[in-house]
Amino acid sequence: MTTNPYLFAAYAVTWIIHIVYLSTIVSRYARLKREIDELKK
Amino acid sequence: MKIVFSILVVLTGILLWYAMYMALSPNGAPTEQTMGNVQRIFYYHVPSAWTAFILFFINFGASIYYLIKRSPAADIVALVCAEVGVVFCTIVLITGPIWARPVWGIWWTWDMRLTSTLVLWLIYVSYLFLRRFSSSGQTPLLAAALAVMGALCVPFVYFSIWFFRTQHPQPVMGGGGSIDPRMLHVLLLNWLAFSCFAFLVCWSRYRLEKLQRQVDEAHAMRSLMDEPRMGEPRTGEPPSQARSAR
Repeated sequence: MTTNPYLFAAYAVTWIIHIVYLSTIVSRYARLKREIDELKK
Repeated sequence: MKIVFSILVVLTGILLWYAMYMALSPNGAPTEQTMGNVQRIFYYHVPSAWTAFILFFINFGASIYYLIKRSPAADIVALVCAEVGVVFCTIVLITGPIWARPVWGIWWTWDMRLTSTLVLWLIYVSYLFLRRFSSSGQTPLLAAALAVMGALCVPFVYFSIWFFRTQHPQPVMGGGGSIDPRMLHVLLLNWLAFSCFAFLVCWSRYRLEKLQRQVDEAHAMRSLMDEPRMGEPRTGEPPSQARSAR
C-alpha cells in the first residue's frame, strides 16, 4: 500500500491528540499525588 | 481494581492495534475504487464521531440526573464525558477536513453537517470553560443546564444530512447509504476499539476528578482549622496582645 500523506496525517493527528490528552491526565495525577503527600505531612 | 484496569488497558491496546492494522491493510478493508487509500480516514473519522455522540448523550443523562438528585457522582460523570467527548469531537473536526481536501478539493465548506458539528464542539468547549473558570457554587447547576441544551444539538448534527442538502456523504447505516460488508466490519471493529479506549480514559479521568475533589475538601478543612476562632489569638500572637486588641 502506498503511503498517502493525507491518510498518514489523519491517523497521526488522531494519536497525537489522544497522547497529549492522556499525558495531561498523567501529569495532573502526579501533581495531585504530591499534594496528597504534602497534606499527609 | 488495579489488576482489572491493567488487564483492560492491555486488551484495549491490542484491540486498537488490530483495528488500525485492519483499517490500513488491504487484507482488512478493501481499497475504495474512487477515492483510493484516503478513504481509510473514514475508519477513524466515523468511529470518533459516534464515540463523541455517545459521550455527549451520557453527559446529557448524567446532567439530568444531577438536576433531579444533585448527585456529585453524576456531576463528575457529566464533566468527564464532556471532556473526553470534546477530545473525540476535535478529532472528527480535524480528520474531516484532511479527508475533504483530496476528495472535495477544499478543506472546509459551511455545509450544514460541518457547521453543526463545529457548533456542537463550541457548546461543549464552552461547557468545559464554565467548569474550569467559574468558582461559583452554582457552577455544576449551570453546567448541567448548558449540557442539556447542548445535547439537543447532537441529533440535529446526526440527522442534518437527511434534512438538508449537504456535500457530506450519506450515513453508513439507516440513511440509504451502502457499504461493502468488509468495510463495515472494519468500521465496527474500530468503533469497538475507540469505545473501549474512551471507557478507560473516562474511568481514569473519573478517579482523577474524585481525588481532586477530595484534595480540595482536605485543603478547605485545613484552612478552616487554621483560621482562629473568635477571641482566640492568631498563631504566633501572644495572648495579652490579643486581649488588648479586643
